[in-house]
Amino acid sequence: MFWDKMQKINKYYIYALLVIALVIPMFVPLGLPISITADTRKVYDLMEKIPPGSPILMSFDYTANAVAEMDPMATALLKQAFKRGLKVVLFSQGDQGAVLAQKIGDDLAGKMKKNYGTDYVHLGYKPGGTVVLRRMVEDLWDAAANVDMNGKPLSSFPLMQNIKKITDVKAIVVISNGSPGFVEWLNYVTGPQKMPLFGGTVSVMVPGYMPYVQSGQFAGLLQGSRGTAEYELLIKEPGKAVSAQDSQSLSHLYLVTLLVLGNLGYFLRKKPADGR
Amino acid sequence: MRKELPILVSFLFGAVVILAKYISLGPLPELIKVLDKWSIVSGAFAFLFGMINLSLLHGHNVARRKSDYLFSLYFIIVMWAFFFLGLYQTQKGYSYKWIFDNVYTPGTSTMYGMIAFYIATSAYRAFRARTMEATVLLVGAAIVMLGNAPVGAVIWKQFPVISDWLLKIPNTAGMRGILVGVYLGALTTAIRIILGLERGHLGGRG
Repeated sequence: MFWDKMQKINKYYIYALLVIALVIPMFVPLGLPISITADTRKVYDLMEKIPPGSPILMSFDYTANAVAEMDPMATALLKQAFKRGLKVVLFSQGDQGAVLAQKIGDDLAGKMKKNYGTDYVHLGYKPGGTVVLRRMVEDLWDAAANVDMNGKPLSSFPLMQNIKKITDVKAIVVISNGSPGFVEWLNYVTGPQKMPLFGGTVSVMVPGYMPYVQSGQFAGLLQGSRGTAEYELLIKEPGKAVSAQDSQSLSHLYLVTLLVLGNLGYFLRKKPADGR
Repeated sequence: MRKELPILVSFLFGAVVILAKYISLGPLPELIKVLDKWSIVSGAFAFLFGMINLSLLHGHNVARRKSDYLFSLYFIIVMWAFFFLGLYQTQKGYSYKWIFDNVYTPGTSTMYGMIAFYIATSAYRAFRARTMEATVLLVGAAIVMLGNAPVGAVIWKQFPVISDWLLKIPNTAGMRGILVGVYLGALTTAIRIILGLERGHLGGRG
């Protein structure tokens, strides 16, 4: 009888408990320890190995619906790049990513006293899909139509004087929540040119990207909010991802509890006559 | 000619691009540069064509007063207003940025976040260990969920280890098979399009 009632529980009770599981840790942090995985450390080490002053390209290939998971990741990666004195070319394969990159880039540059044109340049979004990437291999300026995101000529930026084609940067760092993203960079740029490709993605994309990580085609991959939290700890800048881990812990625990209770109810309830 | 011409264009340009990948002969490298530029420019124009096409489609709904035509009207107004605002102010404009940051981003994030509620109810009501395959999937999902959150290691130190193994060994093996299949399929479709055997994209039957 009890399990029969439990099977018909109002879905709004399930929603309400999920909200509680997500919100409570924001006010009462549990402070659960976050261990650093080998995958996250690999991304950190890759960034650390790039000599200071070298240029890298960061591709903000994510959309606005994923900002909660991706903005902290992009911020942490760019923060480390700036901290190490790397020169950063921002780019996006999507129109939304370009706007998000501008916000994060300008905010961090302001806080870390980095100058536009010498420490970083934002190419923005260039329509044309994978052809733009292919063109970057031959002539990056031409692929970008010779202008940055705001229409200023690339020739006016000291940083761009030594970056004429994509192989002039030391690594491609991609922050992506789907397609276009990592795979396009791999197929058209980093694979043929034998360049390092690493970065991060949302948790839901991780299983799909694992073959590329295992084969070494992606040199390193931050895995969702958990990966970002570990990265924030590595660069000693705990931020939004670290504080979100307690909420993630409780919500995951809640979902597993629902799985167990749902199945217990299914097997222990009074079976209908037709045996379903 | 409505079908023959696009097939001829697809064949010519497809063959030239593939040929240039393997043979660097005569004007081919320069021709590829020109084709790349054409592709980039036509990509930019495709946005405008897309907007005009959507406007015609929804304009038709409004003109015929079809059900929910007010949503179509709202869509047309918002799309063109945001387009002209972007042209006028550029992406750095105050109003453009304000709308993107305070209307579009929270709205789309909320839609994405709502999936969590559906996952919660389906975990309770639908994800049943009815068969052996479903049981394996269910146990695997529970382990990966616990292994991916700090609480998993607190409950049992092996959760992250098993979760990592599941992702890197069985998952990778399965995903590799899927990826090889997908790429072989994409290659076959590309060849069929270039040879004019695949005509679904021209509006007819494939």
